[in-house]
Amino acid sequence: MSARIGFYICHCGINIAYRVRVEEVAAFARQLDNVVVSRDYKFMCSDPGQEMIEKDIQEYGLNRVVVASCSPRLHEKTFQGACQRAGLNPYCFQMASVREQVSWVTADEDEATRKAKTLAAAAINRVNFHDRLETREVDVHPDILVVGGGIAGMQAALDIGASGHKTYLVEKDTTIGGHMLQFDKTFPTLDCAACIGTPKMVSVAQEKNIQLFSYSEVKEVSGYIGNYTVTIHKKPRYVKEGVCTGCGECTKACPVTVSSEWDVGIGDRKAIYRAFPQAVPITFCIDKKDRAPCVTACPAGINVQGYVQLIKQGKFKESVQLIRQRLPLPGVLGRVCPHPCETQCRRKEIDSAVSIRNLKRFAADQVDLEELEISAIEDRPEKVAVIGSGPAGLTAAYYLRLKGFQITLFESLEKLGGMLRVGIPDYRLPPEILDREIGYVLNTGIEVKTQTRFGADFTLKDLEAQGFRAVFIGVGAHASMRLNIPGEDLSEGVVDAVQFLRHVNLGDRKPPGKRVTVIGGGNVAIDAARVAKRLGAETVTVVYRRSEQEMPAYAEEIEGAKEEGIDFCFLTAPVRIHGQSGKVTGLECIRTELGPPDESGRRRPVPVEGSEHVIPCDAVLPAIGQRTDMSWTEKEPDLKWSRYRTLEVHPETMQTSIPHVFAAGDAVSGPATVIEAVGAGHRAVAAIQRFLDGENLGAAVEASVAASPEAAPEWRDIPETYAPARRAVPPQTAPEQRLSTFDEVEAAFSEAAAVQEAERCLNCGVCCECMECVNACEANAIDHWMKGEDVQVKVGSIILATGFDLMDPSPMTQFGYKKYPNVYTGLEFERLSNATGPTGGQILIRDENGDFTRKPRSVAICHCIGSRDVNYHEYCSRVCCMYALKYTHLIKEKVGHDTRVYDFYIDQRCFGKGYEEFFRRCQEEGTIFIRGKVSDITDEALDPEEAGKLIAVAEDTLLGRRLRVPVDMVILCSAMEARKDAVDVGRIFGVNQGADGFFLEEHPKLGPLNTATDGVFIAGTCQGPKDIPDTVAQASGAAAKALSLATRGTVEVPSTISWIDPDICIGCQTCIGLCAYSAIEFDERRGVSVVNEAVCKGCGSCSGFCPSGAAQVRHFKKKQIFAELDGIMDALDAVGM
Amino acid sequence: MSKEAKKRILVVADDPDTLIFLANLLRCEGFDPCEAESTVDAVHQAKSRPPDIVIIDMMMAEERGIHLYRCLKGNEPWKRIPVIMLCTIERETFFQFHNIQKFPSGRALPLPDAYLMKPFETAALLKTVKKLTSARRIQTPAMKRMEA
Repeated sequence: MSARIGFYICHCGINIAYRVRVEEVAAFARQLDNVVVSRDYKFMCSDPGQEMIEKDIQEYGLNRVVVASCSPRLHEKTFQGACQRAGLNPYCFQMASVREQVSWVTADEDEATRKAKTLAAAAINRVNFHDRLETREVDVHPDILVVGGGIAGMQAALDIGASGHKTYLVEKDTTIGGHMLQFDKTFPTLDCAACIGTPKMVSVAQEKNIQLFSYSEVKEVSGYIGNYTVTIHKKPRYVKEGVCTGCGECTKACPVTVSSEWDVGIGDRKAIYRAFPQAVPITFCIDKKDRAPCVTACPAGINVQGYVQLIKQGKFKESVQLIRQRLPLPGVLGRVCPHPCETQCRRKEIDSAVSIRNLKRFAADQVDLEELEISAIEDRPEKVAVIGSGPAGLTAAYYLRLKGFQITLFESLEKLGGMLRVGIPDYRLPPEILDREIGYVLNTGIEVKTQTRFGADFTLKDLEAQGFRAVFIGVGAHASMRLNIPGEDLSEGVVDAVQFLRHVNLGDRKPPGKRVTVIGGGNVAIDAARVAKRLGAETVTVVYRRSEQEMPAYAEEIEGAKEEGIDFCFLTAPVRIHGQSGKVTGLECIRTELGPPDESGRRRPVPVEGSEHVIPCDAVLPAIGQRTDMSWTEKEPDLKWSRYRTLEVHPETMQTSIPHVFAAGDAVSGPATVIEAVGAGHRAVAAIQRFLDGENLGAAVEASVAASPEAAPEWRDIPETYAPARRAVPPQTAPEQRLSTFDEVEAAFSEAAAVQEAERCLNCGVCCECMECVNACEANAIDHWMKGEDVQVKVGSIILATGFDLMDPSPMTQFGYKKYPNVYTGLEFERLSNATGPTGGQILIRDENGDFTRKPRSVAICHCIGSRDVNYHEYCSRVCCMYALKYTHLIKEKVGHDTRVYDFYIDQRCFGKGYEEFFRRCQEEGTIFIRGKVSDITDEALDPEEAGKLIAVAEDTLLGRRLRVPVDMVILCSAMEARKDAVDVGRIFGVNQGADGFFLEEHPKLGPLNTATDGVFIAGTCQGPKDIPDTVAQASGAAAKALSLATRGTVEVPSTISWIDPDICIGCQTCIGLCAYSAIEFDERRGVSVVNEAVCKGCGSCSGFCPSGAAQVRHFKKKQIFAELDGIMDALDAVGM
Repeated sequence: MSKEAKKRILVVADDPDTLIFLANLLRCEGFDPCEAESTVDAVHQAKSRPPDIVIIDMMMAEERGIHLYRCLKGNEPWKRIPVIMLCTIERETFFQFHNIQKFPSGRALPLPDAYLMKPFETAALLKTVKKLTSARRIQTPAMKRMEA
């Protein structure tokens, strides 16, 4: 059937006709192929205009219609409707824009008429090739999602809920309410924000059709109008909703104080918190970041932040109990731990690390272990043997006993403690401390067998025969390495340092000689040297083959040794021990210099030829390293050993080559630190329990891998306000007094010093997991192990009401925000004035200590901070004039009518209902209005009147005079700006941002609540700055939009979508990667790509790139577009262009 | 044969041995072969400069040869370009099994201009190529436009 085209050109009143000779265009069109009728009319969009089209379709049998008028966006649907009413498929219509594209933009009438003719010819030629397309309808899911629980989100949710439709309200904060609930009063009526806001919050909570997801965020949205699938991530609150009664006892127990986001940083909150007393839901929330670096650095996994915080609160017993959860020897480690936690402490970024080890010692020293109750143990029948009573053995014995196992501890020496007992001198670790803590461990019911040597007195087979189901080996590394130099075997005067220390610690206090030389640079060498000095040696010399920098001993020990008069010969290597009649007379050494680094990374000492010399001495104490005593290994051939002569174990489970035998400590790692032995002991305990429970040990490995610290941990930001504070140093005995005694060198902190030191902790993880809140919560609502969860909901439409951020004015340094303590933002002022704020609603300013104590006698309020400013935001923030007026009133009312309030404005924009009246009222209250923007705020006084004040510098543009106004307080009315996460949120919901960053509406007048994505609406300040009345009105509007979709139940979706011709598709799948809406799938069976019509938006990306030409957008096919171009080209000649 | 007159032959195969062998053979015989390792590559080459003949290895994975053949025969500018199919399967079986006489939409799909069983005699292939290139080519306006 050949085309029969009707052409109509609209005068648009005179909008088109004043420039285009419309009659001439109609006459021109009449000549064109297939045009049956061509007319012009005053208003084609009017009823008579549309009726004309309908009538012509009937009378002339038209099967194509072209209208030249305004733009398709405005009236395409109107004319398509006219066609449809007359029985013509709406896609057989084409529109030519001769207003926006011609009459409005062309100055010359002839030129405009010619252009209108070519556009008409193009449309007429194109419409010949139009296909009839089916209009499509899809069902609309009746539920609706509202994102953002501020006043807009609450209003929209309530309106929808009231209609009977289910609403999901997602709020990322812990409470709904949004910015409005942070305000004190609202302009212009001055009703209390809470008085009108909290009833709405309560209504939301009580509305049965609203399901509230607080502390949650939308992670993903898929689908299309009417059928969206939304994934909501519920962040863990660590407090159970519905169980928490909101009593607040937990906040009293919580030791961690951080600044409150709700009070915009001017007030504090605890790590367990609720934004404000009327919060909905009332449930508290625990703020947990990643575990603090001190906690993750501790090999034993001690909750360092937790016990430091408890010390801060004076809860020493609780602190020790918390340490004991991972460490059976707090007093010991409080003295000898090399404190890897302090190395990682972030306090160093301000001044220096918190003195964590000394705090641990302080806490341990405060608690009488006799009074520390032993937790109830549920006995189990399985017997476990622990061989060796060093730190690893004691850890294994204690924690296995706490799990209920029957433990027997075997020790070869007469006393327990291993290296702690015989390796560390008493002046570093008093034996009574060790006795006390070992005693507590044994009191849990551990059987002890001392002077029983593994390998000599019993074997693994014996243990098995005695019914031990598992064995833990922690025999340490008590044997020494040999020097392998001549003279080492002299009978008198050469004593290996480990053996020397063991004898001394076991009570043999005989000096090794008068002139003692110690060989080595580790802690054992320094300990031996200091002990020798205390035993009366006249000279003690430490010989070390590298320089001091490479020395592995702790710096504080080297320092202590130097203070005590011990000599050091660095870069010196022993060559031979000289002797006479079996007695040592001297140590021959050679000088060295440092060469390239060896496998340990330290520079290798190279001997300097000819530099041999003799150090005269009568005792040589070699301390060059320890190893495990392997004399018993032959009796246990099944145990495998590494090439470093240490026991071979699985690194996570500590299981040896014999399944029921586990090992840890120096025997596995080689000589290492006490805390590493404790950490390894814990791993063995966990594995032994799994082993005895018959569980798979592999699972333990997976769990421990999962629990490893984050690669890029998120910790609390270090507050800018923290001033440097000196690290506390414990008192030490004077060096001369030390030499005559084995008494402890270092004293403990005083209580005041300890508490003050604990206060230096930055609380990197925020919640310190001290569990005090758990003890305080009578409702048992707290669950520190709560996990976040993802919830999927299906909705038909979405309302975005994500609100705004207040611009941070600190980059505008001229206003002195954060430089001068009494310069505030509007939101900070709101909190100061709010009854639930940090000052309880009193308007106070900071004194010299930063506390809110003083009332301001004069206040400057500065408008347009960051708004109406080409350097920041060009737009007007719309609400600042009005809230500034509100502030003037509140200051006059609360501080006193004699307070001088200066309002610096550019224009007073009082555009709303009752706003101008409010302005007049504030004028009458005596506020001084100055037209002129403040240029800067300074504290540099030019006369005595300005001294101690903040001076607002401005030009009064009405008087043409420069002003300096001294005030006590400055309030910056900073701009409302788009949320920082607007880009991400926009991407999730398919909503674009405008140049100002706010979400872009479809059309400012025709679709102010619609967005580029059908079925996604916007309301409130996420669209642009607006006041509460406008926000609420928009919210109700958006609710109505969403409801109109939901109640109708179906929605018409455009037919101008992509289609892939299966005949010619080569199955390359290029289109699938290009489709932004994931609308194309690959049909594996047929080997071709297929468009999901419900999801396709008809953007045309696929058709542009399809190599085979199979992908095409319906209504925008190649032949249709080329026909339009051909129409123009052909008409050019005809119109004489 | 002058350089301008060289016939352009698009060889499509995902097996490099076949591709190299055919290209060398055709080049030695004075043709201008262009090689395509994939159907996408073939379509792009055909778009940039339409060939005089297309040789398709129908044994390419995932029936890509059939897709390419349909694409060529279903697109106006290419539908008259002669196609030689190479296949290891006997002609009737192949056509019947893959229903090669029809597009998926049901409309008729023309038969290929030649069908050679692999392994083919080089003489037979060359004879076919020469026969098809010597036949007067009917150029459509679209082909003319693309060649321009």
